[in-house]
Amino acid sequence: MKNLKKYLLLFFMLLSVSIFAQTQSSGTSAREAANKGKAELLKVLSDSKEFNLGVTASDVEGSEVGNPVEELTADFKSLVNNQNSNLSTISSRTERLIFPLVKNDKVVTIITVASTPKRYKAVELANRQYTSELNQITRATSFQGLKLILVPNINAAVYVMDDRAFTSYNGRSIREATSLSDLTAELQKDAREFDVKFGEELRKGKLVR
Amino acid sequence: MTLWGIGLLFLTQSCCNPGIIASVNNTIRPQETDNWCWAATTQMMAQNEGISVTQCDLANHRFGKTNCCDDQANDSSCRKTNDCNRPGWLELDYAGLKFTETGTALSWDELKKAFYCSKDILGYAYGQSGVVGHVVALKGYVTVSGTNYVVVNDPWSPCNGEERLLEYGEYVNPTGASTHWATFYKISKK
Repeated sequence: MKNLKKYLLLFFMLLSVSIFAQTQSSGTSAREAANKGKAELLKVLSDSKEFNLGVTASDVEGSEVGNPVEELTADFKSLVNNQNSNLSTISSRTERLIFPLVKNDKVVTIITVASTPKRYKAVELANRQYTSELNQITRATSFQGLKLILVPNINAAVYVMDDRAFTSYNGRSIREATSLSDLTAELQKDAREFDVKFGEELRKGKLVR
Repeated sequence: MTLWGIGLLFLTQSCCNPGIIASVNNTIRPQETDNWCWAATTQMMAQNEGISVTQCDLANHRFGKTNCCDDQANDSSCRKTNDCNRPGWLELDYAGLKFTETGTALSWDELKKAFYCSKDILGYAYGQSGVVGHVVALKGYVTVSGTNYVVVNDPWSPCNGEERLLEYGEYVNPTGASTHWATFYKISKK
């Protein structure tokens, strides 16, 4: 029995080392994936005039991959039910990183990179909403440590840096920082209203917005 | 159509060989409230079949109302009244379209043929259980350096919308908690 435990332990150790090694060897870093996405976007823009992606090849050329903004999603049930919840503590990672392409101090476009079990890969090119929003948020911090929290159902996109929040939710100016706790209280109120209004319908079937 | 015409059409369709890029000409229709991606996507799919519908007409039908075409008061943007600002689902049948709906993603070859050969605009809905999802129009594809991308006409954000590229694997199985809900394809006028 003692030996069996030993063998099982050894087996799981070897298994985890093997999985880790596989991830490391086959995987590219997130920044490498963003650079690959940038190169592919540049090629699309250079070779084809068919798409209207809100950015030109000359914008992308010479731009640098900036610091990524980590994307999280808030747990809607926790927001509705927990009186003392804080948006940061009820949010979890979506495994997506938003890399701004920066040129002359301006975000020209976005490369979104996702972490998959095997590797990082660029999954979305040229998201204009994030481009516009990141250009409006003060970039004194070079986005270092900036997080984007998406709140489902009420569709709030909140950029968080420490205890400051930046959002255009409910007509706010995204340029001005707002207190995260005040914003959480407002989101909580709206989330509860949403739940009363559409919760039952949502439990019966799928809805989109 | 003559027998020769039918034969020629059959030959054209069966011989259609998609290239590395295709895009169906489709004007983006931004959603006119925070919740009307379903109406805007229906509108984009209908316009590709030569059918003109407005988002607010679709909303009036869905919600059994008559005031959804009213502009939102004190708002100079495209927004319609908050009274009809509710989530929904595609209204393809009401818009006069025939379609096929599948819960699994189309293969890359099927997608390419839909855009390159059939010149279709597809609908793609995704989201996570218990949460309101999102639907967008798919209008083309491109393969670059071995990576396959789908071209999206996204009605979000309200009154803006955007065209962007989505990696094919992300369409098949979105990252994180979201899943592929439905693809609407084989679209034609009733």
